[in-house]
Amino acid sequence: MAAKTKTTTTTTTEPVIRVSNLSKRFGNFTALNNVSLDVHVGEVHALLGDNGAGKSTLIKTLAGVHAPNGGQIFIDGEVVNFKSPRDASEAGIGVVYQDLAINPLATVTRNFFLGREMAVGLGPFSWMKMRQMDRIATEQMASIGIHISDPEQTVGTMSGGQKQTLAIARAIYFGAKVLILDEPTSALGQIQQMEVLKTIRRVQQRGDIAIILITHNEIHARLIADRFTFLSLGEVIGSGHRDDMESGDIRRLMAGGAELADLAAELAV
Amino acid sequence: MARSEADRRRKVGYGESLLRRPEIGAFIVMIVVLVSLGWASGGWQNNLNFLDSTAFSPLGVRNNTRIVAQLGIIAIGAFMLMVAGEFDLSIGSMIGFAGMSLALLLKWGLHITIPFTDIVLVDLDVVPPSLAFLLTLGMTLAFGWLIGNIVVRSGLPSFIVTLAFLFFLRGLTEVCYRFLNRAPGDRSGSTQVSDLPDFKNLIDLERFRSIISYPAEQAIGAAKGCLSVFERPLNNSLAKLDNVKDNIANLATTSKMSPEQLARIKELAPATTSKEELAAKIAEVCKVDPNTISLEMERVDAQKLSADDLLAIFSQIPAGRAESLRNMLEADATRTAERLSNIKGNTVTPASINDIDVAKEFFMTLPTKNPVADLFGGNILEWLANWTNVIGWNITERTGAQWIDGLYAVVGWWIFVALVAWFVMQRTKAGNWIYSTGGNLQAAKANGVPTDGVKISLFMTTAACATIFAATQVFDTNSADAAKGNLKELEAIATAVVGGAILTGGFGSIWGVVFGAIIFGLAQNALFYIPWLDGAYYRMFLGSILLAAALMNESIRKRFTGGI
Repeated sequence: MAAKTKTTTTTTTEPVIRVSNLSKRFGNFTALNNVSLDVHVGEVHALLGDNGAGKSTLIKTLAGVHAPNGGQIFIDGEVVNFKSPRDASEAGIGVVYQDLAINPLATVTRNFFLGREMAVGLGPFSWMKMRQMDRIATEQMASIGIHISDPEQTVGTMSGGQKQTLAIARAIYFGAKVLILDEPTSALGQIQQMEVLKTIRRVQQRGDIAIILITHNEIHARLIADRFTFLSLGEVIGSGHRDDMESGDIRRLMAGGAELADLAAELAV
Repeated sequence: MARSEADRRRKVGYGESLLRRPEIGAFIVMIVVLVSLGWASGGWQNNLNFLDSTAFSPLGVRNNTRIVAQLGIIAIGAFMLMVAGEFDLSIGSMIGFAGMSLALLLKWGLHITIPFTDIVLVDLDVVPPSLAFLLTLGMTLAFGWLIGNIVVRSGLPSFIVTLAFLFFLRGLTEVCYRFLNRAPGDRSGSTQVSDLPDFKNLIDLERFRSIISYPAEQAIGAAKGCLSVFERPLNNSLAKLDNVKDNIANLATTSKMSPEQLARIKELAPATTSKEELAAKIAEVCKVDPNTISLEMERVDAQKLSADDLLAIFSQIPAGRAESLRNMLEADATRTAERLSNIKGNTVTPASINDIDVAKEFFMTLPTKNPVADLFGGNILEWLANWTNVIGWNITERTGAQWIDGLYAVVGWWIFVALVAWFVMQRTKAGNWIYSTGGNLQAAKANGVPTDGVKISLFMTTAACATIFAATQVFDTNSADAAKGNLKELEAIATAVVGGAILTGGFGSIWGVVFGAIIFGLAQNALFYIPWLDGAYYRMFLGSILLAAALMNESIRKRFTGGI
């Protein structure tokens, strides 16, 4: 049963990333079916859905991990075809996965520049410009709201929110136009969740980055997202702008479209 | 201003940050070992000055630093690999293999024929030390590459893969000795080589060819002992007495024998049964005409030339050079005599310096013919040893002469390897990749670090460290043995753990490994200085320190990762 959604408010700008009728099948299992999605610069687009709705498949397809079976991805209006995560990263898609891809035993700077060290010389034995890297890492994290006292601090000693910020700052610094955040607030305490949301807000306020926020948390989505897309069983079951959606709609769509009221009634018996 | 998360991290001062460094434990243990070894070996009786002891006498330092450096080199390889989250148990066997390869190449040369045919691919009677080292390094690097590839491609734990190579390489080493290190008549070869020339001290006397005479009675001795280019083909011709004809022919080309001499030797050779006998025959037939052989001689042997030859050579030394050598020797003699007078309490007259002494000293200053052998097996810091002697240290009590000439070259290699490793680990991209490969493999991969390449190159690095170890040993002692390097892999890993390496990877410091090598090297050598100590105590000590270090590393790791 398709959910009725109100008309989205039209935006004048071209979306940074447009996903058009994307499909992905694994053997005879359809993970994504005709999924479409527009993300505009300076906006937070929340991607919501229950477990197994296809959120992970969608972001992995956007990140170049999976090749789609159908449909197209446009970046700045041009069709792109990712063969590897590196292609996606070069096209400006930065993914911050749940495990954050950080090395807890290494320092902030070393994590920030991991795999993309600034160095003088050629090849793996080129000399790292540590001081410059320290300064950039500190500045970049400060620009989205986390002031670290010591770039030589090991990441393992930082809070979950700080780690999240590090991963976000890193993705932005290395040229992400589209920032995909995979459940950034899960597994964090209340205060840290708020820290991360503030960070996301600051990134949004830069105005040059489009953010896709994957989350389970309706409250967080409502607090920060400008636009919502709901996935269920591999299909988009609803989407809309924040101004056009009611809290009830969101809750209902998040649960995959099932009427919570019905469930409540069932449980009450 | 509101409090932020960052405020919860207490700022620490310089002193405290030093105390919190991961290598501090190893440093403290090292100091304790240094001081107690000094005390136990004589320092206790000498006003508690631990440096005034047999363990830290010049000779003690020379011997200690050698053991420390040998362990240190392989420990650094093992450490870097452990930081990347892998293990290498094949280091010890790799040392044995590399030593075997070097010694056999140097002793027998390199002869490769395609099996079941007569097609000769390579036929080198004499393999110079530089080529022997490069060929050996090529083979060990290939094994390191193979081990690394098996580990990253199969996903098997490196423990199992390298354990397999521990057995395989040791077996291969022994098989090679049995198969290749034998004369034709022997059923199987010896598992050791002990009669290599002293390559690092070979000097070229070609320029004195016309003035050195060979009295008949010295001919055999000269042929046997001093002419290594003569000696090595002899080994080969003995190895293949069946086709001695070809080898004698080879010898003839290098030594410009006359056809008559060659024919005579061919006649005599089949009846010879030992190297010495064949040498004697050749010397006899050729009358050891200096023009037939290249004059390459060990320094010590060169000093044993006849007085006439030495005087002839003296006359060839430029006057200024001879004068400065004489002045130096006279200054040494005066200083030695003064010191001896002080020790003995009566006046000792300085030994007089004659032309022969100058000629002998002259040989000491001639450059080696094999700089590569000297680089691995010679001495380093000779200027420092000389200087310490001049300022009144480094003196033997008995004769008043200089005690040691320098430190073993292996010490220089250790310092070199440690510095390179430190730069790579701390300052280069590669270092960041190594730490992240062990710290969080998935994260490193996600960020584009070539983790497989990192691991493979580190397996090759441990192989290279093992080869350096073997080369310093072979060129120092001029011998090799199938059992060399046994159990060294475990000592290397223990040292790396003392250096702060954790078994899951991603952590540790080169300084810690340097301290660890000093701790274990000194402890291992302590029994030479402390009479009542035996080897069992060393192993108890090693075990306890290893356990303590592992426990401490774990707590440091928890501190750095916030207790995960």
